[in-house]
Amino acid sequence: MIRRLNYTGRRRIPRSHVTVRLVPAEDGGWVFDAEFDLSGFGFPSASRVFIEAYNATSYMRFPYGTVGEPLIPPDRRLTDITPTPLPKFRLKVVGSGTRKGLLLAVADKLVPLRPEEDLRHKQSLLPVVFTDLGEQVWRLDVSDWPTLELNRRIADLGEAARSGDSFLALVYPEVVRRILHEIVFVEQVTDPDWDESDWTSLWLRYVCALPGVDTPPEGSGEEARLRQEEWIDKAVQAFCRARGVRARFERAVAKAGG
Amino acid sequence: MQPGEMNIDPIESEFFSTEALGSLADALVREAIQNSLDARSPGEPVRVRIAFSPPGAGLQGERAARYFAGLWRHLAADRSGLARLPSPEEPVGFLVVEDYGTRGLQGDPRQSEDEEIGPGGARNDFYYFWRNVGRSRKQWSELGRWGLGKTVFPAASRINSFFALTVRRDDGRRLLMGQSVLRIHKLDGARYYPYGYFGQFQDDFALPVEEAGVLGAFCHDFAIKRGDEPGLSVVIPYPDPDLKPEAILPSVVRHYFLPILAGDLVVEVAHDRRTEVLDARSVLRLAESTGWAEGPRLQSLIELARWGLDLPEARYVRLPEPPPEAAPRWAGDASVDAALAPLRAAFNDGRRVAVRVPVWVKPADGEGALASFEVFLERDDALSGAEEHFVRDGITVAGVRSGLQGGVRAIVCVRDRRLSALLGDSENPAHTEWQERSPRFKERYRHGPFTLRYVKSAPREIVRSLTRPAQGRDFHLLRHLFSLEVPTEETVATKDKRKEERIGVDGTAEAGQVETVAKDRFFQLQKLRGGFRLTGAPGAEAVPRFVEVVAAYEVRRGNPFSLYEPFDFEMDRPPIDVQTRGAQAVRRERNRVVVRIDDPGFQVTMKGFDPRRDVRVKVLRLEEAP
Repeated sequence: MIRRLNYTGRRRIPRSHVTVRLVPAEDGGWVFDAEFDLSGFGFPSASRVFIEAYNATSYMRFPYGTVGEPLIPPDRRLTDITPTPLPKFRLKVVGSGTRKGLLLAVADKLVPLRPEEDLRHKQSLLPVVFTDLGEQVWRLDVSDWPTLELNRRIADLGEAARSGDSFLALVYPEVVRRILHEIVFVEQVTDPDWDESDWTSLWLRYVCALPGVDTPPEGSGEEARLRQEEWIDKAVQAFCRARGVRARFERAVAKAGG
Repeated sequence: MQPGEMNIDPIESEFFSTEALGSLADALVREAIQNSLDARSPGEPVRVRIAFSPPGAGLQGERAARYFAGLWRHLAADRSGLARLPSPEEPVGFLVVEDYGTRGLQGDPRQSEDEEIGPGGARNDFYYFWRNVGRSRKQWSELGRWGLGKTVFPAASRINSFFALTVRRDDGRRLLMGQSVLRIHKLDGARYYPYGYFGQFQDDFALPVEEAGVLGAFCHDFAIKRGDEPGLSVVIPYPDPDLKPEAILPSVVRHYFLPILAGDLVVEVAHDRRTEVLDARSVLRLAESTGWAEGPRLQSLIELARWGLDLPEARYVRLPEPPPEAAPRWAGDASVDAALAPLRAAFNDGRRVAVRVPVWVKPADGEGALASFEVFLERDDALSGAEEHFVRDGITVAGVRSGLQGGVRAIVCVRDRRLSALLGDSENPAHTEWQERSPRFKERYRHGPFTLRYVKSAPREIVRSLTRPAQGRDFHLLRHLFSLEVPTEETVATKDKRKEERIGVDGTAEAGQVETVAKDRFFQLQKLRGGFRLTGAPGAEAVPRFVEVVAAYEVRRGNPFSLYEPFDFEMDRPPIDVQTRGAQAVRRERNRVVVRIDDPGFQVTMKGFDPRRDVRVKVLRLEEAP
């Protein structure tokens, strides 16, 4: 069992209440647009609202007025954000008056959308970024929310990654394995319900919904590690079964052989 | 045969044994319906009836002898070319293909050689149908043009034979003939030509039977439905065993879904005393309900085609016209990308898109004309590969592929008669491929091969443009593989309400005294002000012997347990206070406490953490002390 105890009473704002979009700026950098709906939370209207952009090495903060009178800052260029990896965002609601400075609520690790994108009813767990990877075809970035990087110099790689039988068979089982390894051994999270807004929990929920996959074993030490490795193997197998990986790979090989 | 005549055996049936046609049923359906569509009466939909002989209706004895008495010795001759000759005692099962809304086989039945037909002159369908192979007078706008389609009828019979009764629209005459296609064979020392006829003979020249009594008996024997309506009724005796209703029905949908949906074609398939009708209204229902292996794919195809056909012109995205003098090319045309840009989000979001593609058709010896074709596209994650349907004037050209990526369904719909003519000129006899090196096509058009490639590669190039990587993160690309349902507003609201009740509307409440934050089979964890309490889970029958509790201050990034430092707190030093009831702390060091549980109703309380920071707590069951 693993839990985060929030002593300040800080509330979580669901991601469905906040949308951040990245728009390419004329000078080649990025500008962002943010929309949020804080009605229904009961925050004092004088509470201040901020949006923060951050990535591995940089950070910027943008004041958005108050809950009662939101204001959009005119300059939303991400001038102090290093371009790679692409930034993520937080929305913060901060107390005023006697509760000045107290963080009342936060929506964290907001992954921005492209201008025309809409999350609709499904939350993507593995966003894709097209970037120059030199001679590499793909790479998995697990420095924060896992992201699949694809080499933008390879024509049609996006479609191959989306629908190609070979790509599916050769890449995604290892992507799942790597992500589960990160969750269980690095983040040490084994409970799919431990934080419903955290990527580790969301990925565990996704994997545990596969037929035949239970929650990962808890514990530390050599014996627990072995059981957790077995669980990851089992989860990867379940993913392969659910996606028909072997049959699709055989079909791809048969097709390639003419 | 006369001495010195060329010895040649018919090979026409080979034209239909291409990979793109899955079966003989495909070939029969394609060719028979294509002939009917070409013979269509203006302004009328074509109705085609394909009927299997009813159970027990096979002809025997005297009735069979009327048609086959003189034929058996030829069929049984050495080298007749028949591998699976049925026994003469076997009842003659049959398959009937009849069309309505067509003109029938018009023209002089006595014509035996080509005659020049001037503009507007009468055409002789009868002559080309019965007395020519590989020769056709069909016009440029028609589907068939090789004069080979009719050879599928004898190819579908185990005795390589068929009959055809026609009623002609122009003069109302009813004409019956039959034909048997064997190899050159010898009988009683004489050599026989491959093509033999059933009819009324004047010397060796076969003429059709018109006698009412014979025609009446023929219609009765073979359950012909035709009365006086113009059209053609073909009877295939001893049909190949592969020709079954369950093969014919999906084949009709696969190859003619577009004219059916457009209301240009209705096909009836009669078998086992019932009739299935494939028309614009019923075709989807039939594909849904019949349990065909390919039913779900055909349903999706029909739905996409219907959507495209019903779409108002304003909803198509029209690509820019290519320059009239240059050969059409997709590569490097930024204006195509710009025109398609508004469709990108819709397509990648799984919605259907329709594109109208203009293209010039430039005959070598005439004026060029701007034509166009339509492309309907949708993503379908159930598809393992790509699904492409190139439809020229209603008929699916089954072997054309653009090299589309998997997971996409595409219909390329060519309805423009000029473009259809260009593509038709490049088709092979089975109408399964567009061949730019075909002698009939080469030299006939300026930029002909480029135009052909432009049409063929349209789905791939449009999809390539629609899916070109955009800047930023792409959430759509793998959403079909890796995603979770987003909680609805309702579920979020319910959860938030429960939480508000626990911790206060705006976060001002003190951390509750006994707020339960986690439960499992053995334990429950409760949040206290500046600490937490671990107890046995209510109703738990047994608890483990030991439990290890690990705590660490939360960090923004990384694993808090790995990043723990003793200056954060230490479990065996103030201000951390560990109290137990029904249990005993047997080890306290750094950020860990190992507790021996003596009583299922135990409590372990730890307090003294900084109330301005989050704490992550991990509880591990142990069977023995570490």
